[in-house]
Amino acid sequence: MDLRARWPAARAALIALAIALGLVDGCPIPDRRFTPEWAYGLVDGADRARTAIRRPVASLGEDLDVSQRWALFRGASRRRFRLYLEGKAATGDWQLLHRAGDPEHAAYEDLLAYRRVRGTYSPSGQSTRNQYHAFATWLTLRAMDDHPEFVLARIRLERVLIGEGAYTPTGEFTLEHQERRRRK
Amino acid sequence: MIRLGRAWIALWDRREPATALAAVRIAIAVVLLYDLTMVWRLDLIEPLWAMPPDGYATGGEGRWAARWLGTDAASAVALWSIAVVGLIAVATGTLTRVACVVVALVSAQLAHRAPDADRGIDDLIRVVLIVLALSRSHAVWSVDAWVLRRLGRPMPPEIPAWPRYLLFAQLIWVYFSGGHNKTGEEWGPAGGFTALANALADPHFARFDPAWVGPIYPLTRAATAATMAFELGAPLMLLFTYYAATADRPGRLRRWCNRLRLRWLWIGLGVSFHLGIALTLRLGIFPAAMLALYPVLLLPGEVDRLLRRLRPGG
Repeated sequence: MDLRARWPAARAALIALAIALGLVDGCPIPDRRFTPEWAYGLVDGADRARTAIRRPVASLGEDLDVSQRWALFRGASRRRFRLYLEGKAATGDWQLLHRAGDPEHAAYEDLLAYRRVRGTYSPSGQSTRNQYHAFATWLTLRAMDDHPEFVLARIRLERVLIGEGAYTPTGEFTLEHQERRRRK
Repeated sequence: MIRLGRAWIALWDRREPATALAAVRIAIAVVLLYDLTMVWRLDLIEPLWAMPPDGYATGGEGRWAARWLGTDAASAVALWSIAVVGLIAVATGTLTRVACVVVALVSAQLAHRAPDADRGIDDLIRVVLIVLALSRSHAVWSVDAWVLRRLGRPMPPEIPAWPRYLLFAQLIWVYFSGGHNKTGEEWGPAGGFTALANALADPHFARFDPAWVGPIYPLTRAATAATMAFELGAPLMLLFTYYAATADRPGRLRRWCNRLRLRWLWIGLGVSFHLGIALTLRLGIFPAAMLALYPVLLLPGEVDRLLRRLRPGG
């Protein structure tokens, strides 16, 4: 058997398999939460089938952390957030160090605007990021390291409403995280 | 059926010059190197990829990098350094295939440590690196090719085209999947196509004060609709490219698509879309990394023509 002569056919078959698996992985099966009750069986069945088909190669996808479901800038809703970073001295009020989109309070601007950092605090849609509190702890402690006068620091997100190319702050805050100065 | 099978085998057995894949290899490596340099410049290597108290990584335990290197600050620096050296090797085409695999594996470890810091574009770059590792993108513009030439075993001028075809299909799928995953009503007529205007006013993403968005609000709505048409229409690019590659064959639709230059229209929309994003939104390396893949959209003859034009006196 001439293996070299058979290679093009084997390669074409492997490529077809890879494409098919990618399409199954990326198939847009709707989330059960956004599906009418009558379609639950259909959605659950499709999801089970996808899991079964992916099973032999699932570990490869997990190890390489790749999938074929792409969400390019999905979250562009009207209800968004802006980050606040504040510190407080032993006697005194909260001092605003950073507020997203506010050039008057732009401490740590480069750091907080960097894509990998923003990914850990800026909510995906309305959902909190899993790393939010770990990030909040790190940032508040860093702010206190940089500002020895602070005994307390906090970060929080203000809800903003976007409309016709401008945003309106609502004064409503969420995900407040405070850290007190830790003794070395 | 047999004819179809033979055509499928013949499609993936084609060969072409290595220039398009080599351009993608170099561009992707340079873009990711820039990104990792940013991490270093912002003093973020340890915060991003070390476990507390050194950083705020939250995952990766039990993975090979944690078993071999630990999860402390030194391990984060070690992984970052391996990625940087690997990317320099990918860009220069030095032990290219090994370097591509190493960078993809290290990038995955970094993703496990900081899942929220790993964006869709990092996911895509890992896929691209794996395909490049299987390709002969190092046949030109590489140290590997230079060494082999010196050893008297030069690489053939034409390489298998299938890795480029796969990257082409991947790019098309990224857009199409991105389109049908945009389920928010602001991306469609129900929400008045307001998504881009919303993004341009989002304090976490906007590059400029949003005051400029109001006067061009209707334009942003048209741009949102165009974005959706571009993404959901991405599979048509397969047809447009097939028609362009077989322009000498008959067919009214083929003639019509080629005459209207629909393929170039789609590519032009993509380039404008990414340049627009780069100019107005702070999305990091996303636009540059996507554009770094665009050479795979060109036909082999077009890449060579472009290169000839770019040469001095060309």
